[in-house]
This record gives sequence, C-alpha cells and structure tokens, in this order.
Amino acid sequence: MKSFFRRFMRPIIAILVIYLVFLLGPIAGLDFPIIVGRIQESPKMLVQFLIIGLANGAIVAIIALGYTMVYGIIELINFAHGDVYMIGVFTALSTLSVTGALTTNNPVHLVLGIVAALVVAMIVCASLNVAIERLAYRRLRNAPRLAALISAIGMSFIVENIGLIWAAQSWLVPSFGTTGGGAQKSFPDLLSKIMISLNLDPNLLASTGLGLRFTIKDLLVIVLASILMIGLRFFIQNTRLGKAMRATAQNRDAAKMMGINIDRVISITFLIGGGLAGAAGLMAGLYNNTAWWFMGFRVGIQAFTAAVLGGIGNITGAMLGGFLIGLLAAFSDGYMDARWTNLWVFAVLVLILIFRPTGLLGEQVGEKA
Amino acid sequence: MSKRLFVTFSVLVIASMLLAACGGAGTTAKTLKIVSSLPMTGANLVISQAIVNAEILRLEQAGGKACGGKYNVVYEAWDDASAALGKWDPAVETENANKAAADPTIIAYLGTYNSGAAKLSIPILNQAGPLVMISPANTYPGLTHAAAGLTDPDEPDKYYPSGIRNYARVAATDDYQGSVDANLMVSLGIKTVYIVDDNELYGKGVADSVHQNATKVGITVIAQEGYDTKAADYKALMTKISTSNAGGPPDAIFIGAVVDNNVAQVLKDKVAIMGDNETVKFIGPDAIYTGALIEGAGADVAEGVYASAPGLAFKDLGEVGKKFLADYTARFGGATKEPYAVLGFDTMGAALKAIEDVCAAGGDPTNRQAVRDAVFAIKDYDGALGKWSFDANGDITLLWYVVGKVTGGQFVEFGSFLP
Amino acid sequence: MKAEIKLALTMGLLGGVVVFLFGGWSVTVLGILIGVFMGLSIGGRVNKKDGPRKLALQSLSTAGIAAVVFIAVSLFQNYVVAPAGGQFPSELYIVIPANLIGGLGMILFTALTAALHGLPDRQERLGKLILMVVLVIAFPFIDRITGLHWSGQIIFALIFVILGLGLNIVVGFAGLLDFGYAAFFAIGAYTTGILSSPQHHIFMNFWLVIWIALGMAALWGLILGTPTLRLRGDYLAIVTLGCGEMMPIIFRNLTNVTIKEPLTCWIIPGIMRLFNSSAATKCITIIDNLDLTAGEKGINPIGRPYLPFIGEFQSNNPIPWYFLIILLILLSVFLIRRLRDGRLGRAWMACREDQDAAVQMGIDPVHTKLTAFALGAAFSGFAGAFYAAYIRGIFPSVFEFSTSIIVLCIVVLGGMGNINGVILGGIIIMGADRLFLPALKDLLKGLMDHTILPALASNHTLQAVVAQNANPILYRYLLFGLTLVIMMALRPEGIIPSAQIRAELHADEETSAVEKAVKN
Repeated sequence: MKSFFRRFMRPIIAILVIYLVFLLGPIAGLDFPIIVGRIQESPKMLVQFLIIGLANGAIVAIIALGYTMVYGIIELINFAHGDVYMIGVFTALSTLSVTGALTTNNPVHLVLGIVAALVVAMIVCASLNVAIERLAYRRLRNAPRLAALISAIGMSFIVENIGLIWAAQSWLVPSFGTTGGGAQKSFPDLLSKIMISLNLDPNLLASTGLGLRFTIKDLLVIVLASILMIGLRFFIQNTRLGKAMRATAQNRDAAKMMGINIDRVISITFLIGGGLAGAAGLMAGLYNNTAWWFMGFRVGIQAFTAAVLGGIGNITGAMLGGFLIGLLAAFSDGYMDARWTNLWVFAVLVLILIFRPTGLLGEQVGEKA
Repeated sequence: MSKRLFVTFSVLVIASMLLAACGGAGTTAKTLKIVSSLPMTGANLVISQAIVNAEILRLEQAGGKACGGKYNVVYEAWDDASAALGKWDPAVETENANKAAADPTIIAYLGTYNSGAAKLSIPILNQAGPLVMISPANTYPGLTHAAAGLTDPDEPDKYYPSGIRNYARVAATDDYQGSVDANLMVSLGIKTVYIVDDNELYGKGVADSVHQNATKVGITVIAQEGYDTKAADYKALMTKISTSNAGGPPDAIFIGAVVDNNVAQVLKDKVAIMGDNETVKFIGPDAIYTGALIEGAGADVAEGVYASAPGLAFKDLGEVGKKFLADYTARFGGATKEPYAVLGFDTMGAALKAIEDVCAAGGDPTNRQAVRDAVFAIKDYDGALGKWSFDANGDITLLWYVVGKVTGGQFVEFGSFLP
Repeated sequence: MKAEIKLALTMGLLGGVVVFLFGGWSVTVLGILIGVFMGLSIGGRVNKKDGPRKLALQSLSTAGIAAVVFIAVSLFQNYVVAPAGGQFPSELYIVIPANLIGGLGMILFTALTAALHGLPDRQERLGKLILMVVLVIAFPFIDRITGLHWSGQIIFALIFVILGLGLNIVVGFAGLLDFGYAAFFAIGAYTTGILSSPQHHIFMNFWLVIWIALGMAALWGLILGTPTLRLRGDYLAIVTLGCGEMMPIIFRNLTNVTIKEPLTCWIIPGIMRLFNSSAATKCITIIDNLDLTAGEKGINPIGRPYLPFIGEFQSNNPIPWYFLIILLILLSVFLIRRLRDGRLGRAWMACREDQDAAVQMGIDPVHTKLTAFALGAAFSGFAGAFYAAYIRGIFPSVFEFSTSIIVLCIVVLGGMGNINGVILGGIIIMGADRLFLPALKDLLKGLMDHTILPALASNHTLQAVVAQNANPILYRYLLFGLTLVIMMALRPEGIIPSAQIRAELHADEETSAVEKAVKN
C-alpha cells in the first residue's frame, strides 16, 4: 500500500496541478483555447510578438548582467541597480537636450548626440554605481546578509528620489509645463527621425510586404545587447582583470592571498555593471521613448528575475533569462491579458526561486545562506 | 541656587507672555474658510493647479470678503495625493474630509478631482452638518444619480447616510460624456473602435459609457480591455489591437483613463505600431485634455489626439467666461489651456454666491446647513460657463462639452458639443 | 549644570521645531510631552537618595530654561514666521493661554517626572505607568479641545505600529527578511472589505470580522510561508517581495472572475473534434463574471464597529477609533511578549542566531519558521481590518511595495527584536511622514509664495527652480532610503536595540576586541 502511494503520488499531484492550472489559469488570462485560437487566427503575429519580446528582452538582459555580476562576486542583490538604469535614461535625455540633438533634423548631429549621450550615460551610471558600493555596501561586507540587503533597498529608494528630483528640473529635462517630477517625460524617437531624414523607412521590413514591423530601433537594441554580452563574456574569460573577478567570486580570501586587490576588483565590477545600466538606459529611452522616475523598479525586478531564471552569477544565463522574460511579457500582452502580465513575471521569479534556485544554466552551488 | 533660578525663569516666562500680549492685535470680522482637496502631485498637478488658481482668482475678485465685509473668506488648497502612491491616496482624502468636518469655520469643501476620492469624503461630510461639497471635476454618474448599466444599484443613496444631499458638481457626468464622444466618432466617420481603460472608477466608468453609447449610434466596439497602468511599454498590446479588426487596425482607439496612468506611453506605442492619429484616431475623455499628455508623449506623437471635456470651448464662452480668461492671464502671468480652470472658477463662484444668498436671506453663513441649502438653491447663476443651475441631485444643468484636438503641440478647440 | 543647560536647550528647541511647523495650540501639547521626556532624561543621572522633593526642585532650573527657549520659538513662529508665510498670527485669546499652559505644563511635568525618580523602585515604575496611561488617555481629548486634529494622523501611525509589531516577529525575532509584508495587510483589509460591505451584500459585525481577518492573514502566512521555508536569507526576501508584488495585482484584477470547468468546456469537446465526433458536452460554469474585489474602484463603504452607548464609530469622531487602536496595540504587545518569552520565542531566536545549532538542540526549524510567518501575518490582519473600517474603503494601490518598506523602516529604525523600539520607530516614521513633512511643506510654501519668490522675481529661471525644489514631500523617499542606509551603517541594532541583536550585529567588532586583548 505504501509503495503504491510512493509510486503514484507524483503523477497524481502533477495531474492535480495541471487541472488546477486549467481551472484557475483563465482568471489570469491563461486560457488555452483562446490562446490557440488567436495563434491560428494570425500566425504572422506570433513573429511580431517574437520581435517585440526580443527587443524588450534585450534591455532587460543588459540590466540583468549588472545584477548577475554583482551577485556573482559579493552575493548581494544590488537593488539600486534598476534605479541606476533609470538615472541612465535621464542622463541620456539631459545630454541630448543640452547638445541640442532633440531639436535638430541633421542626421550627423543626431548620431553625434546619441553617441555623446551613450558615453555620458555610461560614465555617470558607472560612477554612481561605484559610489553606491563605497557608501552603502563596502562597510557591510562582513556584516550579516540582511544588513546589506536592507541597505541595498535603502539605496534604491535614494536613487529613485534622485530621479524624481532630476525629472522636476525643467532646465535639465525638456518640458513645457510644470508637471513636476512625478509625471512621465517624453524621450523623443530619434532613431526613426534619423531614418526619415535620410529618406529611409524606419521599418526595415516595410519593403517585404509581409506586414511585419522590424524597425531600426528593434535592430539596434538587439544588436547592441548581443555585442555587450559577448564583449563582457570575453572580458571575464580572457583578461587578467576578468580572471581576478572570477577568482574573487570563487573565494574572496584565497584571492586576497594570491595578491588580488579585492576592493579594486569589486569596484570594477560595479563600474562595469553601472556602465551597462547606462547603456541600457539610453537604449530604453530610444526604444520606449519615455523617461520616468519609477521605471527602474519594475524593470529592475524583471531583470533580477531574468538573472535568477538564467542562473544567477552566469553571464550567458542572464542574457538568456532576459530574452525569455521579454518573450513571456510580450506573449502575455498579446495572447493572454495585459493586466496580468506582471503577475506572470513575478510568478516565474517565485517558482524558479522555490523549485530551481540555480536557474536554467547555473551550476549546483553549495547552500548560500 | 535652584530656587533663585526658578524664580528668575518664572519671571522670564511671565514677562514673555506679557510681551506676547502686547504684540498682537485682534481682528473684528469673523472668518469663513473654504478648502479644496485636489491631487497636487504628479501629472494631475497641471489640472489641479489651474483649478486652484481659478479659485484663488475668484476669491480675490470678491476681495476675500463676504456679506459686505462682515466675514473674511479664507481659501486653502489641500492636497489629497501622497508621494507614496503618486496619485490621490484614500488615507489622505479621508483625513482631509475629517479635518474639514472638525473645523467649524469651514463652510464649503471644493473637491474632489477623482470620483473614487469623492466616494470616501461625501459620507464623512454628509454627517458633519452636512458640509456642502462642490466638485469641479468628478464625472462618475453614481455619485449623484443612477444611470442604467453604469452605476451600482444602491448608488447614489449609499453615499448619503443622513438622507440629505450635500454634494453638487459643476462638471457634467460621464453618461453624457459617452454620448458626446459617440457623436464625435460618428462625425469623424469612425465605424469601428477599440476601447481600453485603466480599470479605475472614473476611467472604466467613462469607457463603459462610451461603449454603451457607441453601440447605440451604430459604431462597432471590437472589444473593451483594461491595461496595466505601470507597464514599461504597450507594443504587444497595440500589435494585438492592430489586427483586431478583421486583420487590420480599428478606425479609432478610445482610452478611458486619467493622464497619470501612463496614457502617454499607450499613445506612443499606438503611434509606433499603428501610425499617426489621422490613420487610427486616438480619443480620450476629459482627464487627458491637458498639457501633461502632450508633454509626456511629445508634440509630434500627440498631434491629432481628440479629447472631450465638460464645459464650453473658450471661444464659445460668454462675457463672464471671456473676462475670466483675460483676468487669469493677467493674474498668473500666462494663459491657461485647461478647460477645468473655467469649472474651478465657477466652483468657487457657487460657494461664494451661496454665502451671499444666506446673508441676503438674513441667515447665518457659519451654519453649514444654511450654506448647503443655498448651494442647492442656486438657479440661473451667471458664471464663467454661462447661465446654469443645480438640479435636485446636485448636477449642473448645463451639458455642454468642449472637444479639443492636439494641433502644433497643444490642445486646440475643435468645437462645443451637446450630448 | 552644563549638561542640564544643554539638555534644556535641546529639548526646548526640539519642541520648538514642532511648534515652528504647527503653531497655535501645539505649544500646549508639546510643552507637556517635552516636559515628560525631559523629566525622564534627567532621571537617568540623578541620585536616588535625594528624594522626590529635592529632585523636583533641582529639575526646575532645567525646565525653566527649556520653557523660555520653547516659548520664544513659539512667539517667533506666531509673530514673524506665520505672517511671512502669508498667514494671520493666532489671536491673543489663543496665544496667551496656549503658551502659558504650555510653558507651565512643561515645568510642571518635568518636575513631576523627575520627582518620580526619587521614589522607591516599585512606586517609581507604578508612577511612570500611571503618568503614561494618563497621557495616552488624555491625548485625544486635549487634541480635540485644542483643535489640532492630530488624532487622525496618530491613528494612522498606530496602524503602522501594529504592522511593525507583526513584522518584528518575522524579521526581528525569527530573522527572516520579509519584503512583502503589505500582502498580509492587504489580505486583512480585503477580508474585512468583502465580509462587511455592499460589494457582496454581506454585512458581518466588525467585532467578528476582525478575528476572521486575523485568521485569514495567518492562513495566508502559512500558505505563502510553506514553499519558501527551504530558502534562506536573501532568496527568501526576494520570494516574499515577489508575493508582495503579486497581491495588489491580484486584488486589482479580480473584477470579472469566470471559472469554467476545463474538462467539460474544452478538453473533452476538443478530443471529440479530433475524432470528428459532433457529440457536445455541457459546459459547466462554476463562477460566472463575479466582481470579487471591485479592482481599482475599491470596495466602499465598509461596515464599522458598533458599541452600545457609543453607537457606530464615525469618521468625524476620532476618539473611539483612537481607543480601539490603543486597545489593539496593547493586546498585540501583550500577546507578542508572551510569545517572545515562551518556548516558541526562544526557538525563533535560536533559529535566527544559528539554525544548524538550533536543529541540533532539537528545534524543528519548519515548525518554528512557519509559526513566525503565520503569527507575524496574523497581526497585520488586525491592522488591515482596522484600516478598512477606519478609511471605509480599500484600494489595491495602497498595499504596494513602498508600504512594505515603510514597515521595514519602522522595525529597523526602532530596533529589530525590540517591542518598545518598534512602537517608537512607528511613531517617529509615521509622524515624520504624515505630520512633519506636510506641515513643513505648507510652511515652506507659504514662505516661498510670500517672501522668497517675490524677491527672486527678476530671475525667472531661478525662481522656477527654487519653487520646484523647495517641497519637502519631494524628498520623502530620500529620507526613507537614508534611514535604512545610515541605520545599517552606523547603528544596525536600531534606536532601542534588543541585547541579543546588538551582540549579533557587532559580532566581528567583539571578536576583534578579543583578538586585541589576546595579542596584548
């Protein structure tokens, strides 16, 4: 009798869970007949959602790189990272505003402005991230983990508030009313503007007549994200500094004994993570055309979910996780119910942490308390 | 030692008291207080500030006095939003209402902006006198009257536990606005519309009303759907909509939402996926009739957006209204584009008229019941909106709506409409 | 003597800051409160043998200095600051009694409290207790007579104190970091909302609902706690954050719940269609289009407590609400103390200190952590039920992440694991958030509009920049963030630490001290 139970327990529970998903899933939009029906209705749209998901996922993936690198080295969830990305969006917007790129139609001026915005956003975010590490995390490195985590949440609130104040400065962020810092600010669609000023269609697939949209924005975001990911992987695998980072991640004390300057390595990790967040900020601004002080929190959690999904500490995993989260969100928006999309993202986060904390690509590591 | 010190200090304390006594001079006129409770945070600030400015202006024109100088009238603009929520906060609105209820000098409560907030404050003020509330902006019908298919069965009576109505508004309600928007769509030649809403009391209410009225005039409503107000983008949602009308986009999208619920992002992604607002029209209610939308979306993206709002187009305003606009420009150093400014002006106007009426009838304007009665008795008031009255429910009798279209980075009046 | 003058000046100015913001009758309330605090702090360093009479007389000089400073600030506020901010100064018939009672009250209560220190230990404790009880009971009446209207905000602060007490069980006692505590608050509030409102035409008595809310919150604590038990530390924190974020989404969107039995509705018909059979099954609909939570529209109006003699609690009379929440806090504190000192409490702390060692000692970690989660959640059920009835309406946006973090702030600031600390933390944080910042904003705005901005009229850009940034509400998140970061960096054990937590958080310093001692 007991062996009977042992044998059939798992399949019975599995069937029960599947049944419950079928029963309750439709409340949150997971209604299979409707989804299948919609896909059959227009298979072309599936490709379109794939494109949207990949492009959104690319931004999430770059932010996820920052989370995963920091976690890999000091096992701290840098909550402020999503907000550093938000500062990146505002830095880019302000740089574009100051260089006059927002008002010009000259493609050369526009491209130069965007390059300048990229450089400035990366520098500002990298310095901000290093400063955060110095001020909030360094002295807590040997304290209980809870202390560092609480400090990280606090830092996140501080950076969010900086964004709120920044957004309120009408001399830095273009605005013609006095909506204050709370409102969303427009980030003009400069890439399409460049294409139009060169007499090209922003939609690269317009001439194919398929009715699909794959714009210059989608292309740039996906390509840039892939380049950054490959570059980062190369850096960590093949350079001296990258080796030092891996050594620090494996065993901080041993690395110290080998003559590695731990503080410097950690600072550089935060520097790179911040720079990536800055790049993501410009990309998100150009892609979604919005700057908002609260945008970092949501995307930050999505990116963290992506990092966990891919296997925290794993660069390729973070990238994979980012794309998967982007696809999930696009799929939920398109075929399920847009109101419930975030629930599914959080559900993935919770379920992965509970059932497979090592993620998709993470190796089995010892219990990390 | 301590005894002597004690004596010294006691003397000092009493001396300072006496000093205080010499410092002040009493005033003879009694004070009446009028407060407003509007969200002064986030994207709504533009609208709220315009309303507050108009109310200040109206009071200044009365010289801050009432009943021939017998009373000083003081106005305070309260904020019912909290930074934590970034919009109106139930706790803050409740607290505002409680504070107003407890302060006997307050004789009128001008607010709220959000209909959901009014649901909380009406019952509180209803049991405090009742203290009269005049809203410049609430458009949810259920606060004052039942509307089939739009309100709950126990509305509006559940908001008035004392059985006396204490809530009036100068904004016409959503059941009329839905009809105006449906007529607008017909005149624009729209055959199919997709409705999205922010799920809030106001947003969903106005969307439901448009749904109802559009079906009535023969427009096909493809679907009505709520959206996540905090998402980073709506490209997937818009892609879905772009094929919802037998594989193609609908003629128009109607959005029922307040502007701080990410409307600018919805608009941006709609334009990115389905093209400009001439190809697929983008229509919204009064809460997106504001510069904040254009600021958030960018002037080129917002070009061609239609929005309706209670009140008259500025060009159709009467003499009082035209004078108000000129005075506003002179007083605040810039013209206002917000239709709600006019409504704000008449809100304060109605409150002041009620006080004067009470005095003229020999009553006591510090008596809340008397002021309430006077507000509900307002007939043929010559306000900035034109000549209007309150009906027994507290609704304004003037049902004009202004429709605006974004042209060159600002809302330009398209015309005035009746439901 | 020098120390006393310093104390007097600090206290006088501290009270002055508050008076500076509020003016009017706040002088009286603050005078008495500061008096008590001053008496208590003087008591820390007196010679007990001096006896009550002498101690009282000794304290008078300090109290006198403080009172003069205090009243000077108050008068400055009334006659200089208020007019500069465009307000009328308070009238004489308020100014004189308010300042007189405030100043004399400060002196009197300082002396009284100081005198208590001269009594024998038991009487001293009893005296302090009586003093506290009198103050707590008298507060809402003084508040009403003086027309300050602080009660509403204080009630709100006390709701968060209960939340803090509950979270303290999870974070402080059991050492489990919970970033999603607002979820349980939401469950308590929604239970109350659904069971006593016209939403589903159920009108249950508040005195019953509050216990159901407590039970529901505890139940959900168990449900959400069970799968997370094998996680430790930061992963647990993230899972709770995820759950906390999911809860408002769920409450926001459960507006048209339709449940159709899947087998009969599409699985069997689908299979049938595969075999080209036209036999149709009847689709069983379990729930059709139910509006469970009313979404962002909110549930409203929610039923309120009713008591004989008092009648139904009204929103415009805060006094019954105030005493109800005080009662709930007392009950919570009593229960939590019993729990903490009992077997369970010791097991929590053992697990917090070193789980492996605790398991070796025979403590069941699963049971221990689950009870912490469930009991911690239960108290937020109290808070949720009270909140729903007090506000009379509930809306999903109230229960988002920032609420969880504010509660965490309260626990961290006051002192993890310490009940008194959490109460103090709650009053400081919520007082700052609900009373100070708005008052400071009004004060600054008045000054700006009437004094500073006109002076800057020549430079429009500068004027706009100053006007935009001189709003303390704008810096609210910054204050919360700084509280967390600074507390973690400088005093991770909080204002009133629990001895064990302090020892734990300063473990490396102590070891290094031991090392030093050994080396020497």
